[in-house]
Amino acid sequence: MSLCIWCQSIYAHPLDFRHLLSVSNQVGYCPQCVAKLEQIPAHQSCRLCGRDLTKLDAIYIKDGTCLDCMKWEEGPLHGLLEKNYALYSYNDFMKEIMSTFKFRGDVLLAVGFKPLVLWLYKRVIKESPLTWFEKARYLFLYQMGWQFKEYPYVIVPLPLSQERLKERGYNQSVVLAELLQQPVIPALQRREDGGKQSKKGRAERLNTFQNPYRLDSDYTDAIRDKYILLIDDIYTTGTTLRLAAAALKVAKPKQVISLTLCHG
Amino acid sequence: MTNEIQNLLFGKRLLLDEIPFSIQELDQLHQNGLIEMEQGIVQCEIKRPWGKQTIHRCCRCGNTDQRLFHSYPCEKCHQECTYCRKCLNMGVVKSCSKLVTWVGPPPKFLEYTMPICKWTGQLSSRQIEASDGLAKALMRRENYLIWAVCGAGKTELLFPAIEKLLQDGRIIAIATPRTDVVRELYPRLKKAFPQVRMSAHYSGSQDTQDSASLVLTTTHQLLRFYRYFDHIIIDEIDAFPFHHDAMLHFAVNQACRLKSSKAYLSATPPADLKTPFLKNQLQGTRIPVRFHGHPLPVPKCIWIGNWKRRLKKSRLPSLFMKWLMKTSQFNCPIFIFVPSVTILKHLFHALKEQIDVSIDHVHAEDPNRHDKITRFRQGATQVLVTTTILERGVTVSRSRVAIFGSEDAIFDEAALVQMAGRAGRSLEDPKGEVVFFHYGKTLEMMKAINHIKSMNREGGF
Repeated sequence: MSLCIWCQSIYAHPLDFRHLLSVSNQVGYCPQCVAKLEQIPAHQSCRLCGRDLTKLDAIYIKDGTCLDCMKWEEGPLHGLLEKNYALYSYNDFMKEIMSTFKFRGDVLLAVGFKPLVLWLYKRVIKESPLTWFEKARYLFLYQMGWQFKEYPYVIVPLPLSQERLKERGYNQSVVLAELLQQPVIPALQRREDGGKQSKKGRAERLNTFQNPYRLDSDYTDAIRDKYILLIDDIYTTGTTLRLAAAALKVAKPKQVISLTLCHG
Repeated sequence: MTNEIQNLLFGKRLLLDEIPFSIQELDQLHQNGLIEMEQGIVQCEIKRPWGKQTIHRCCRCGNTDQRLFHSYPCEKCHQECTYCRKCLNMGVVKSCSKLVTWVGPPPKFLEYTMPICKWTGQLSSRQIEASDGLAKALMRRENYLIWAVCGAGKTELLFPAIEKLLQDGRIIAIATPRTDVVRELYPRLKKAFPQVRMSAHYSGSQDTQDSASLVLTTTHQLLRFYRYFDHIIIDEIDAFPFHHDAMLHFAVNQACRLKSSKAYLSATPPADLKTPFLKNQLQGTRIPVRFHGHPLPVPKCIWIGNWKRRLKKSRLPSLFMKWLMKTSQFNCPIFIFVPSVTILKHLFHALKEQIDVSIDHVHAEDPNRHDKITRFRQGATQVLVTTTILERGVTVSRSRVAIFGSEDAIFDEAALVQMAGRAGRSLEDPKGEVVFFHYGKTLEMMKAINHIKSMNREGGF
């Protein structure tokens, strides 16, 4: 029996050995709330941005890629961000959850996504350019929940400006990154605050020329020749993540991909 | 400046972020001992049979349910910070946030000496009796219960009592669990007491004023006040969120001053008020007659068999259909109460195919809820299928009531009495009609019928 962290109703877990033998109270959403979330199907998502292609008209899709991504690949920022993985579509219910999580300060709502974020991270590992042996090793270690010395990806959360961080008390990307059970590398810094991204229009966002992100020089070695996984709460146009990837480019990482909770 | 802070903070307990003054000014006042700052979340030890246990407690809402606390490393205080999830929608309370209260001298309140009540309605003799009793008891700072049937005119009888108390310089709150009721009541009170400094608090309200003598509020918003009121009048004490939520009881207790009293208004008081009242430990009056002087309609029971199985096949019980056909001929609005949202949808679709009168459905999460209810009030829709959200506070004249599947566990005595109270509320059609469509009578149904019958008997019918 657990308490749903969104609607506060009591729900029962399906009876299996894992739940039978564990004593810990699980943090999660009840089946009714989970049904309202729209998970993006793995094999029907955009090859580049992870968008749910079933919701898109066929004319906007070209061999598994959406039109937005095609434009990105033709533009000046092409090739910086190899791929984005997203877990949920940004529907109205998700909007409510995100605004409560980000603006009201309910950190626990993100922790409720832990099993699925971990599941998505496993998918990231499976599709990574590692050798089959390494993949199998990492997946096995994750499955068992064991600690290990080296990690397949360097986890870099997108930063908030100092001012916003003080005001809010936490960085939502760091909260999400910590769900992955491995050290978080705060390699990026945000320069100054150019206003909230979520308050800007689409055109305004796409025209952000000056890069607000900067690589923290202490972490150059941690980035060099590594696989980097950027973590953010939401992928909207992809500008933010591409700018962050551009900032990391200085340290010459092997590959930069990203993982976001939602897409929309 | 100090005056402004005094007016804002007196009788309130606000978060530091909510106060539009600079920290330096507040610090100055804090050093002068005029304001007090408390931690938002405290840790306390409680004794358990197996030893001591350290638990978190939210100072604003009194929550001690440990499942509703969560800790995370805070960037503000650079420590592990705990926050309360229970009162989150009033702004987050964390271990490192401060709750600010005014402890200096109280601000000046307006004094009312002249007759201030501009309400010109007539009260029945029973209402006057209850109103006098209420005023006297509250003057002596004693609690009071008004147990009045649905449609007895509970709100109106408050007016003379409020007038007397205001003239004595008391500060009064009228608290109700539902936002709709506050919105509806505020203009009425504003009209009745035009000179009085009045404030209405509900989420998203615009009419808030500091140092008001008469405050209209939802029970949730009482959390914003701290030792402010001499009297709190709680309407619909048994209504849904209040009855089950310890937080709201805590809110009421901390919003009133140390020497204060409460008045309770209800048609179906819960056992913890009913028993002391019947034992004469709690003062109060009972009003068993409606304002128009007609008896309450006694519910009829009609057995409709296994309606759940039929509903799955989109079929409807024939006795129910017969009743609906007959009643809809009179051209009067019909409430159909159902136990759950899934049943609501099934029944609505089945009904829509089979009858040709205008029909609509409404439930708590319906975005067009208010529009639909307004349309039903105006008579644009004749039949309204609804869950228990409309069980109280709704007056539609000439309405008939059917409770479909009244044996369901969600319908307890109070709910059934309240729903039955939707019928026959106006002078034109005082008789009304209430029918319980059931698959086996339950104890709660019988209790509800007996409740209504005994009220009628007491009213002299």
